[in-house]
Amino acid sequence: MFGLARDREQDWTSFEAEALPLMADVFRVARWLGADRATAEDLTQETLVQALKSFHRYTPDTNCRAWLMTILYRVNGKRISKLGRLRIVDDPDEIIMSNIAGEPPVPARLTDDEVISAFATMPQKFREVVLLADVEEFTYKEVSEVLRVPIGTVMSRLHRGRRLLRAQLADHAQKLGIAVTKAG
Amino acid sequence: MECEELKLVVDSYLSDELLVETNHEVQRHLELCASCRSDFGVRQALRSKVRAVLTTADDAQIDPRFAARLTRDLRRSATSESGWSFARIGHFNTLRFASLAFIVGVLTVVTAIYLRPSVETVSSSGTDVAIRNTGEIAWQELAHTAIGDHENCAITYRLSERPITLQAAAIEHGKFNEDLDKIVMEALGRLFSEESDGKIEFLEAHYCIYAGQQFAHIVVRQRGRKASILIADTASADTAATESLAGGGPGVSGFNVRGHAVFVVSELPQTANSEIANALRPVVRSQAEKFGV
Repeated sequence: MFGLARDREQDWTSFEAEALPLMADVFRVARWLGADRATAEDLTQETLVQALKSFHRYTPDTNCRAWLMTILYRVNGKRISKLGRLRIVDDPDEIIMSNIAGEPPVPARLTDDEVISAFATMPQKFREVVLLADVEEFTYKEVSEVLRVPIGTVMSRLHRGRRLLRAQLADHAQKLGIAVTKAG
Repeated sequence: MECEELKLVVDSYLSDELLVETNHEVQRHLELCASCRSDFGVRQALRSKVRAVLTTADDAQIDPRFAARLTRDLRRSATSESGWSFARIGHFNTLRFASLAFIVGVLTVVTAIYLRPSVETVSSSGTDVAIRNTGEIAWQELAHTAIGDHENCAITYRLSERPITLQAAAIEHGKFNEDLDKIVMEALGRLFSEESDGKIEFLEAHYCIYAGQQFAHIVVRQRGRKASILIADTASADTAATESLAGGGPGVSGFNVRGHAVFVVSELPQTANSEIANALRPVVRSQAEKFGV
Protein backbone atom coordinates (compact mmCIF):
# COMPACT_ATOMS: atom_id res chain seq x y z
CA MET A 1 0.00 0.00 0.00
CA PHE A 2 2.72 2.44 0.98
CA GLY A 3 6.48 2.61 0.51
CA LEU A 4 9.02 3.94 2.96
CA ALA A 5 8.09 4.83 6.52
CA ARG A 6 8.42 8.56 5.76
CA ASP A 7 6.20 8.22 2.67
CA ARG A 8 3.64 6.34 4.73
CA GLU A 9 3.66 9.08 7.33
CA GLN A 10 3.23 11.77 4.67
CA ASP A 11 0.40 9.88 2.99
CA TRP A 12 -1.26 9.34 6.34
CA THR A 13 -0.91 13.01 7.28
CA SER A 14 -2.55 14.07 4.00
CA PHE A 15 -5.23 11.42 4.33
CA GLU A 16 -5.91 12.45 7.91
CA ALA A 17 -6.24 16.08 6.91
CA GLU A 18 -8.37 15.65 3.80
CA ALA A 19 -10.31 12.39 3.97
CA LEU A 20 -10.75 11.57 7.63
CA PRO A 21 -12.82 14.67 8.54
CA LEU A 22 -15.33 13.48 5.91
CA MET A 23 -16.01 10.15 7.60
CA ALA A 24 -19.32 11.36 9.04
CA ASP A 25 -20.43 12.54 5.57
CA VAL A 26 -19.65 9.14 4.07
CA PHE A 27 -21.61 7.43 6.82
CA ARG A 28 -24.59 9.77 6.37
CA VAL A 29 -24.80 9.16 2.63
CA ALA A 30 -24.44 5.41 3.20
CA ARG A 31 -27.35 5.54 5.63
CA TRP A 32 -29.62 7.43 3.23
CA LEU A 33 -28.73 5.05 0.44
CA GLY A 34 -30.84 2.62 2.39
CA ALA A 35 -28.26 0.82 4.47
CA ASP A 36 -29.01 -0.06 8.08
CA ARG A 37 -26.58 1.28 10.68
CA ALA A 38 -24.34 -1.79 10.74
CA THR A 39 -24.17 -1.97 6.95
CA ALA A 40 -23.54 1.78 6.73
CA GLU A 41 -20.60 1.33 9.10
CA ASP A 42 -19.28 -1.50 6.94
CA LEU A 43 -19.64 0.69 3.85
CA THR A 44 -17.93 3.63 5.58
CA GLN A 45 -15.06 1.45 6.67
CA GLU A 46 -14.64 -0.19 3.27
CA THR A 47 -14.81 3.19 1.55
CA LEU A 48 -12.09 4.69 3.75
CA VAL A 49 -9.90 1.59 3.46
CA GLN A 50 -10.17 1.74 -0.34
CA ALA A 51 -9.52 5.49 -0.24
CA LEU A 52 -6.43 4.99 1.91
CA LYS A 53 -5.09 2.31 -0.42
CA SER A 54 -5.53 4.49 -3.49
CA PHE A 55 -4.83 7.86 -1.92
CA HIS A 56 -1.81 8.32 -4.23
CA ARG A 57 -4.34 8.67 -7.08
CA TYR A 58 -6.11 11.54 -5.39
CA THR A 59 -4.94 15.06 -6.31
CA PRO A 60 -4.50 17.04 -3.06
CA ASP A 61 -6.82 19.99 -2.46
CA THR A 62 -9.29 18.91 -5.15
CA ASN A 63 -12.75 17.66 -4.17
CA CYS A 64 -12.01 14.89 -1.68
CA ARG A 65 -15.66 14.63 -0.69
CA ALA A 66 -16.78 13.84 -4.25
CA TRP A 67 -13.88 11.40 -4.61
CA LEU A 68 -14.92 9.54 -1.45
CA MET A 69 -18.55 9.42 -2.62
CA THR A 70 -17.43 7.86 -5.89
CA ILE A 71 -15.67 5.13 -3.93
CA LEU A 72 -18.69 4.69 -1.66
CA TYR A 73 -20.94 4.17 -4.67
CA ARG A 74 -18.60 1.54 -6.13
CA VAL A 75 -18.44 -0.27 -2.79
CA ASN A 76 -22.21 -0.09 -2.36
CA GLY A 77 -22.74 -1.23 -5.95
CA LYS A 78 -20.69 -4.35 -5.27
CA ARG A 79 -22.66 -4.99 -2.09
CA ILE A 80 -25.98 -4.74 -3.91
CA SER A 81 -24.74 -6.94 -6.75
CA LYS A 82 -23.80 -9.62 -4.26
CA LEU A 83 -27.26 -9.46 -2.78
CA GLY A 84 -28.71 -10.05 -6.26
CA ARG A 85 -30.87 -6.96 -6.17
CA LEU A 86 -30.04 -5.84 -9.69
CA ARG A 87 -32.58 -8.00 -11.47
CA ILE A 88 -34.80 -5.38 -13.07
CA VAL A 89 -37.80 -6.95 -14.76
CA ASP A 90 -39.61 -3.72 -15.51
CA ASP A 91 -39.00 0.00 -15.36
CA PRO A 92 -41.08 0.99 -12.35
CA ASP A 93 -39.97 4.63 -12.62
CA GLU A 94 -42.03 5.23 -15.74
CA ILE A 95 -45.07 3.70 -14.08
CA ILE A 96 -44.58 5.80 -10.95
CA MET A 97 -43.98 9.03 -12.81
CA SER A 98 -46.91 8.52 -15.17
CA ASN A 99 -49.21 8.35 -12.15
CA ILE A 100 -48.18 11.80 -10.87
CA ALA A 101 -50.38 14.43 -12.43
CA GLY A 102 -48.87 17.92 -12.86
CA GLU A 103 -46.88 19.48 -10.03
CA PRO A 104 -48.03 18.03 -6.72
CA PRO A 105 -48.86 20.53 -3.96
CA VAL A 106 -46.60 20.68 -0.92
CA PRO A 107 -47.93 20.51 2.65
CA ALA A 108 -47.58 23.85 4.43
CA ARG A 109 -46.13 22.19 7.52
CA LEU A 110 -43.87 19.22 7.42
CA THR A 111 -42.47 17.22 10.28
CA ASP A 112 -39.01 15.69 10.11
CA ASP A 113 -40.51 12.19 10.18
CA GLU A 114 -42.73 12.99 7.19
CA VAL A 115 -39.77 14.20 5.17
CA ILE A 116 -37.68 11.15 6.09
CA SER A 117 -40.53 8.78 5.36
CA ALA A 118 -41.25 10.38 1.96
CA PHE A 119 -37.57 10.36 1.06
CA ALA A 120 -37.07 6.75 2.15
CA THR A 121 -39.94 5.49 0.00
CA MET A 122 -38.57 7.01 -3.21
CA PRO A 123 -37.02 4.58 -5.72
CA GLN A 124 -33.25 4.39 -5.34
CA LYS A 125 -32.59 5.94 -8.77
CA PHE A 126 -34.27 9.21 -7.76
CA ARG A 127 -33.35 9.11 -4.11
CA GLU A 128 -29.62 9.04 -4.81
CA VAL A 129 -29.76 12.04 -7.13
CA VAL A 130 -31.86 14.09 -4.70
CA LEU A 131 -29.48 13.03 -1.93
CA LEU A 132 -26.33 14.06 -3.78
CA ALA A 133 -27.66 17.22 -5.43
CA ASP A 134 -30.04 18.63 -2.83
CA VAL A 135 -28.81 17.26 0.49
CA GLU A 136 -25.07 16.95 -0.09
CA GLU A 137 -25.06 19.86 -2.56
CA PHE A 138 -22.84 18.34 -5.22
CA THR A 139 -22.89 19.94 -8.66
CA TYR A 140 -24.52 18.16 -11.61
CA LYS A 141 -21.04 17.34 -12.92
CA GLU A 142 -19.97 15.81 -9.61
CA VAL A 143 -23.20 13.80 -9.33
CA SER A 144 -22.70 12.62 -12.89
CA GLU A 145 -19.17 11.44 -12.06
CA VAL A 146 -20.18 9.74 -8.82
CA LEU A 147 -23.07 7.86 -10.42
CA ARG A 148 -21.36 7.42 -13.81
CA VAL A 149 -24.38 8.68 -15.73
CA PRO A 150 -24.60 11.60 -18.20
CA ILE A 151 -25.38 15.07 -16.84
CA GLY A 152 -28.68 15.03 -18.79
CA THR A 153 -29.70 11.94 -16.84
CA VAL A 154 -28.82 13.67 -13.57
CA MET A 155 -31.00 16.64 -14.51
CA SER A 156 -33.88 14.44 -15.58
CA ARG A 157 -33.73 12.27 -12.45
CA LEU A 158 -33.43 15.30 -10.19
CA HIS A 159 -36.50 16.91 -11.76
CA ARG A 160 -38.49 13.71 -11.44
CA GLY A 161 -37.11 12.96 -7.98
CA ARG A 162 -38.14 16.35 -6.62
CA ARG A 163 -41.56 15.95 -8.16
CA LEU A 164 -41.92 12.48 -6.71
CA LEU A 165 -40.91 13.73 -3.27
CA ARG A 166 -43.59 16.42 -3.43
CA ALA A 167 -46.10 13.79 -4.52
CA GLN A 168 -45.24 11.57 -1.55
CA LEU A 169 -45.56 14.50 0.85
CA ALA A 170 -48.80 15.72 -0.71
CA ASP A 171 -50.26 12.24 -0.52
CA HIS A 172 -49.31 12.01 3.14
CA ALA A 173 -50.76 15.45 3.87
CA GLN A 174 -53.99 14.62 2.09
CA LYS A 175 -54.44 11.54 4.25
CA LEU A 176 -54.02 13.67 7.37
CA GLY A 177 -56.07 16.60 6.05
CA ILE A 178 -53.12 19.04 6.21
CA ALA A 179 -53.23 22.30 4.21
CA VAL A 180 -51.07 22.23 1.09
CA THR A 181 -49.20 24.86 -0.91
CA LYS A 182 -49.40 24.64 -4.67
CA ALA A 183 -46.13 24.48 -6.56
CA GLY A 184 -46.03 24.83 -10.32
CA MET B 1 -38.51 34.92 -20.18
CA GLU B 2 -42.05 33.52 -19.97
CA CYS B 3 -43.54 31.35 -17.23
CA GLU B 4 -43.37 28.21 -19.39
CA GLU B 5 -39.68 28.83 -20.12
CA LEU B 6 -38.99 29.31 -16.44
CA LYS B 7 -40.54 25.93 -15.64
CA LEU B 8 -37.99 24.31 -17.93
CA VAL B 9 -35.03 25.76 -16.07
CA VAL B 10 -36.34 26.16 -12.53
CA ASP B 11 -34.68 22.95 -11.29
CA SER B 12 -31.30 24.06 -12.57
CA TYR B 13 -31.84 27.54 -11.13
CA LEU B 14 -32.58 25.96 -7.76
CA SER B 15 -29.33 24.00 -8.02
CA ASP B 16 -27.38 27.09 -9.10
CA GLU B 17 -26.43 25.41 -12.36
CA LEU B 18 -27.50 28.03 -14.91
CA LEU B 19 -25.29 30.33 -16.91
CA VAL B 20 -25.01 33.84 -15.52
CA GLU B 21 -27.12 35.32 -18.34
CA THR B 22 -29.93 32.80 -17.85
CA ASN B 23 -29.72 33.35 -14.10
CA HIS B 24 -30.37 37.05 -14.66
CA GLU B 25 -33.33 36.30 -16.92
CA VAL B 26 -34.82 34.02 -14.25
CA GLN B 27 -34.31 36.65 -11.55
CA ARG B 28 -35.94 39.33 -13.68
CA HIS B 29 -38.93 37.08 -14.32
CA LEU B 30 -39.28 36.18 -10.63
CA GLU B 31 -39.26 39.87 -9.72
CA LEU B 32 -42.17 40.53 -12.05
CA CYS B 33 -44.24 37.33 -11.73
CA ALA B 34 -45.85 36.71 -8.35
CA SER B 35 -47.10 33.27 -9.32
CA CYS B 36 -43.66 31.97 -10.37
CA ARG B 37 -42.10 33.68 -7.35
CA SER B 38 -44.48 31.86 -5.05
CA ASP B 39 -43.87 28.54 -6.84
CA PHE B 40 -40.11 29.00 -6.61
CA GLY B 41 -40.39 29.89 -2.92
CA VAL B 42 -42.18 26.58 -2.26
CA ARG B 43 -39.54 24.61 -4.15
CA GLN B 44 -36.72 26.40 -2.37
CA ALA B 45 -38.30 25.90 1.06
CA LEU B 46 -38.85 22.20 0.41
CA ARG B 47 -35.25 21.73 -0.73
CA SER B 48 -33.95 23.51 2.38
CA LYS B 49 -36.24 21.47 4.61
CA VAL B 50 -35.15 18.16 3.09
CA ARG B 51 -31.50 19.12 3.41
CA ALA B 52 -31.87 20.26 7.01
CA VAL B 53 -33.78 17.14 8.07
CA LEU B 54 -31.53 14.63 6.34
CA THR B 55 -28.26 16.16 7.52
CA THR B 56 -29.29 16.47 11.16
CA ALA B 57 -31.42 13.33 11.69
CA ASP B 58 -30.14 11.26 14.60
CA ASP B 59 -30.32 8.13 12.47
CA ALA B 60 -27.75 9.52 10.06
CA GLN B 61 -25.14 10.54 12.65
CA ILE B 62 -22.06 8.40 12.92
CA ASP B 63 -21.42 6.66 16.24
CA PRO B 64 -18.38 8.41 17.77
CA ARG B 65 -17.09 5.11 19.13
CA PHE B 66 -17.15 3.60 15.65
CA ALA B 67 -15.47 6.72 14.23
CA ALA B 68 -12.74 6.61 16.86
CA ARG B 69 -12.13 2.91 16.31
CA LEU B 70 -12.01 3.29 12.53
CA THR B 71 -9.65 6.26 12.82
CA ARG B 72 -7.34 4.26 15.04
CA ASP B 73 -7.45 1.19 12.76
CA LEU B 74 -6.80 3.23 9.63
CA ARG B 75 -3.87 4.98 11.30
CA ARG B 76 -2.49 1.67 12.45
CA SER B 77 -2.88 0.15 9.01
CA ALA B 78 -1.33 3.16 7.24
CA THR B 79 1.72 3.46 9.43
CA SER B 80 2.38 -0.12 10.44
CA GLU B 81 5.67 -1.56 9.21
CA SER B 82 4.12 -5.01 9.34
CA GLY B 83 1.57 -4.11 6.68
CA TRP B 84 -1.19 -5.46 8.88
CA SER B 85 -4.21 -6.11 6.68
CA PHE B 86 -6.88 -3.69 7.75
CA ALA B 87 -9.77 -5.67 6.32
CA ARG B 88 -9.18 -8.39 8.88
CA ILE B 89 -10.24 -6.17 11.73
CA GLY B 90 -13.36 -4.95 10.04
CA HIS B 91 -16.76 -4.27 11.45
CA PHE B 92 -18.52 -7.53 10.75
CA ASN B 93 -21.60 -7.48 12.88
CA THR B 94 -24.19 -8.92 10.56
CA LEU B 95 -25.27 -12.50 10.56
CA ARG B 96 -24.13 -13.15 7.03
CA PHE B 97 -20.58 -12.47 8.10
CA ALA B 98 -20.82 -14.33 11.39
CA SER B 99 -18.68 -17.31 10.47
CA LEU B 100 -16.13 -15.18 8.67
CA ALA B 101 -16.04 -12.85 11.64
CA PHE B 102 -15.28 -15.79 13.91
CA ILE B 103 -12.33 -16.86 11.76
CA VAL B 104 -11.15 -13.28 11.44
CA GLY B 105 -11.48 -12.85 15.20
CA VAL B 106 -9.27 -15.85 15.86
CA LEU B 107 -6.72 -14.63 13.29
CA THR B 108 -6.80 -11.15 14.73
CA VAL B 109 -6.15 -12.38 18.26
CA VAL B 110 -3.29 -14.56 17.06
CA THR B 111 -1.91 -11.70 14.96
CA ALA B 112 -2.28 -9.27 17.84
CA ILE B 113 -0.35 -11.58 20.16
CA TYR B 114 2.49 -11.99 17.65
CA LEU B 115 2.57 -8.31 16.74
CA ARG B 116 2.03 -7.05 20.27
CA PRO B 117 4.98 -4.64 20.33
CA SER B 118 3.98 -2.96 17.05
CA VAL B 119 0.29 -2.92 17.94
CA GLU B 120 0.99 -1.02 21.10
CA THR B 121 3.26 1.36 19.24
CA VAL B 122 0.88 3.71 17.55
CA SER B 123 1.68 6.78 15.51
CA SER B 124 0.00 10.14 15.84
CA SER B 125 1.60 12.21 13.13
CA GLY B 126 5.29 11.59 13.08
CA THR B 127 7.47 9.02 14.72
CA ASP B 128 6.46 6.13 16.94
CA VAL B 129 4.41 6.86 19.99
CA ALA B 130 4.79 4.90 23.17
CA ILE B 131 1.67 4.30 25.18
CA ARG B 132 2.87 4.85 28.70
CA ASN B 133 -0.25 3.88 30.53
CA THR B 134 -2.41 1.21 28.99
CA GLY B 135 -5.07 1.22 31.70
CA GLU B 136 -8.03 2.61 29.76
CA ILE B 137 -8.36 1.70 26.09
CA ALA B 138 -11.33 3.95 25.38
CA TRP B 139 -9.43 7.05 26.49
CA GLN B 140 -6.52 6.14 24.22
CA GLU B 141 -8.79 5.55 21.23
CA LEU B 142 -10.37 8.93 21.71
CA ALA B 143 -6.97 10.52 22.32
CA HIS B 144 -5.95 9.92 18.69
CA THR B 145 -9.13 11.60 17.50
CA ALA B 146 -8.41 14.49 19.90
CA ILE B 147 -4.94 14.91 18.33
CA GLY B 148 -6.59 14.92 14.89
CA ASP B 149 -9.03 17.60 16.03
CA HIS B 150 -6.22 19.73 17.45
CA GLU B 151 -4.31 19.52 14.17
CA ASN B 152 -7.33 19.96 11.89
CA CYS B 153 -9.18 22.58 13.91
CA ALA B 154 -6.79 24.57 16.11
CA ILE B 155 -3.66 24.43 13.91
CA THR B 156 -5.10 24.27 10.38
CA TYR B 157 -8.81 24.73 9.98
CA ARG B 158 -10.01 21.79 7.88
CA LEU B 159 -13.23 20.68 9.52
CA SER B 160 -16.12 19.65 7.29
CA GLU B 161 -18.71 21.01 9.71
CA ARG B 162 -18.75 24.50 11.13
CA PRO B 163 -18.27 24.58 14.92
CA ILE B 164 -21.00 26.03 17.13
CA THR B 165 -20.59 28.15 20.26
CA LEU B 166 -20.41 26.56 23.69
CA GLN B 167 -23.62 28.41 24.56
CA ALA B 168 -25.39 26.73 21.63
CA ALA B 169 -23.80 23.41 22.65
CA ALA B 170 -25.17 23.88 26.18
CA ILE B 171 -28.67 23.91 24.68
CA GLU B 172 -28.15 21.20 22.06
CA HIS B 173 -25.74 18.82 23.79
CA GLY B 174 -26.11 19.41 27.51
CA LYS B 175 -25.69 22.10 30.15
CA PHE B 176 -22.25 20.73 30.99
CA ASN B 177 -20.89 22.89 28.15
CA GLU B 178 -22.20 26.10 29.69
CA ASP B 179 -19.36 28.49 30.59
CA LEU B 180 -16.86 25.68 30.16
CA ASP B 181 -14.34 28.13 28.69
CA LYS B 182 -14.58 30.34 31.78
CA ILE B 183 -13.99 27.57 34.31
CA VAL B 184 -11.11 26.15 32.24
CA MET B 185 -9.45 29.56 31.93
CA GLU B 186 -9.89 30.22 35.66
CA ALA B 187 -8.15 26.93 36.44
CA LEU B 188 -5.34 27.67 34.00
CA GLY B 189 -5.02 31.20 35.35
CA ARG B 190 -4.44 29.74 38.81
CA LEU B 191 -1.93 27.22 37.44
CA PHE B 192 0.11 29.83 35.58
CA SER B 193 -0.29 32.70 38.03
CA GLU B 194 3.41 33.59 38.18
CA GLU B 195 5.00 35.59 35.35
CA SER B 196 7.82 33.04 35.20
CA ASP B 197 5.28 30.26 34.55
CA GLY B 198 4.61 31.70 31.11
CA LYS B 199 1.41 33.63 30.47
CA ILE B 200 -1.49 31.58 29.12
CA GLU B 201 -3.59 33.29 26.50
CA PHE B 202 -7.19 32.41 25.57
CA LEU B 203 -7.68 32.15 21.80
CA GLU B 204 -11.01 30.50 21.11
CA ALA B 205 -13.75 28.26 22.47
CA HIS B 206 -16.36 26.32 20.53
CA TYR B 207 -17.97 22.92 20.05
CA CYS B 208 -16.72 21.05 16.99
CA ILE B 209 -16.89 17.67 15.29
CA TYR B 210 -13.87 15.79 13.99
CA ALA B 211 -14.09 12.30 12.47
CA GLY B 212 -17.61 12.03 13.84
CA GLN B 213 -16.53 12.81 17.40
CA GLN B 214 -17.96 15.83 19.17
CA PHE B 215 -15.68 17.93 21.36
CA ALA B 216 -15.98 21.02 23.50
CA HIS B 217 -12.80 22.72 22.35
CA ILE B 218 -10.88 25.50 24.07
CA VAL B 219 -7.78 26.77 22.32
CA VAL B 220 -5.08 28.59 24.29
CA ARG B 221 -1.51 29.67 23.65
CA GLN B 222 1.47 29.42 25.94
CA ARG B 223 5.08 30.22 25.11
CA GLY B 224 4.06 30.79 21.48
CA ARG B 225 2.49 27.35 21.07
CA LYS B 226 -1.16 26.52 20.68
CA ALA B 227 -2.72 24.02 23.05
CA SER B 228 -6.16 22.44 22.79
CA ILE B 229 -8.31 21.42 25.71
CA LEU B 230 -10.81 18.95 24.27
CA ILE B 231 -13.66 17.43 26.23
CA ALA B 232 -15.89 14.64 24.92
CA ASP B 233 -18.66 12.54 26.40
CA THR B 234 -17.62 9.01 27.28
CA ALA B 235 -19.28 5.92 28.69
CA SER B 236 -16.00 4.73 30.17
CA ALA B 237 -15.22 4.67 33.86
CA ASP B 238 -13.10 7.34 35.53
CA THR B 239 -9.36 6.87 35.11
CA ALA B 240 -7.35 6.77 38.30
CA ALA B 241 -4.55 8.98 37.03
CA THR B 242 -3.71 11.28 34.17
CA GLU B 243 -2.67 9.31 31.09
CA SER B 244 -0.34 10.41 28.31
CA LEU B 245 0.63 9.68 24.74
CA ALA B 246 3.76 11.34 23.39
CA GLY B 247 5.65 11.07 20.14
CA GLY B 248 6.94 13.08 17.17
CA GLY B 249 3.80 15.17 16.82
CA PRO B 250 1.71 16.82 19.49
CA GLY B 251 1.54 15.08 22.84
CA VAL B 252 -1.67 14.47 24.72
CA SER B 253 -2.48 14.07 28.40
CA GLY B 254 -5.84 13.61 30.03
CA PHE B 255 -8.29 11.49 31.94
CA ASN B 256 -11.87 10.32 32.20
CA VAL B 257 -14.00 11.82 34.93
CA ARG B 258 -17.75 11.63 35.54
CA GLY B 259 -18.64 10.65 31.95
CA HIS B 260 -16.24 13.09 30.30
CA ALA B 261 -12.95 12.37 28.56
CA VAL B 262 -10.55 15.31 28.81
CA PHE B 263 -7.53 15.82 26.53
CA VAL B 264 -4.80 18.44 26.61
CA VAL B 265 -3.10 18.36 23.20
CA SER B 266 -0.08 20.49 22.32
CA GLU B 267 3.56 20.52 21.35
CA LEU B 268 4.46 21.90 24.75
CA PRO B 269 6.63 19.59 26.86
CA GLN B 270 4.63 16.57 27.93
CA THR B 271 5.04 17.57 31.57
CA ALA B 272 3.17 20.80 30.77
CA ASN B 273 0.30 18.85 29.15
CA SER B 274 0.09 16.63 32.22
CA GLU B 275 0.24 19.60 34.56
CA ILE B 276 -2.61 21.31 32.72
CA ALA B 277 -4.64 18.09 32.72
CA ASN B 278 -4.12 17.66 36.46
CA ALA B 279 -5.30 21.23 37.05
CA LEU B 280 -8.45 20.59 35.04
CA ARG B 281 -9.57 17.40 36.76
CA PRO B 282 -11.26 19.05 39.80
CA VAL B 283 -13.03 21.72 37.75
CA VAL B 284 -14.33 19.26 35.14
CA ARG B 285 -15.51 16.96 37.92
CA SER B 286 -17.23 19.86 39.63
CA GLN B 287 -18.89 20.99 36.38
CA ALA B 288 -20.11 17.43 35.70
CA GLU B 289 -21.52 17.13 39.20
CA LYS B 290 -23.15 20.55 38.98
CA PHE B 291 -25.16 19.44 35.98
CA GLY B 292 -26.05 16.06 37.39
CA VAL B 293 -23.79 13.87 35.28
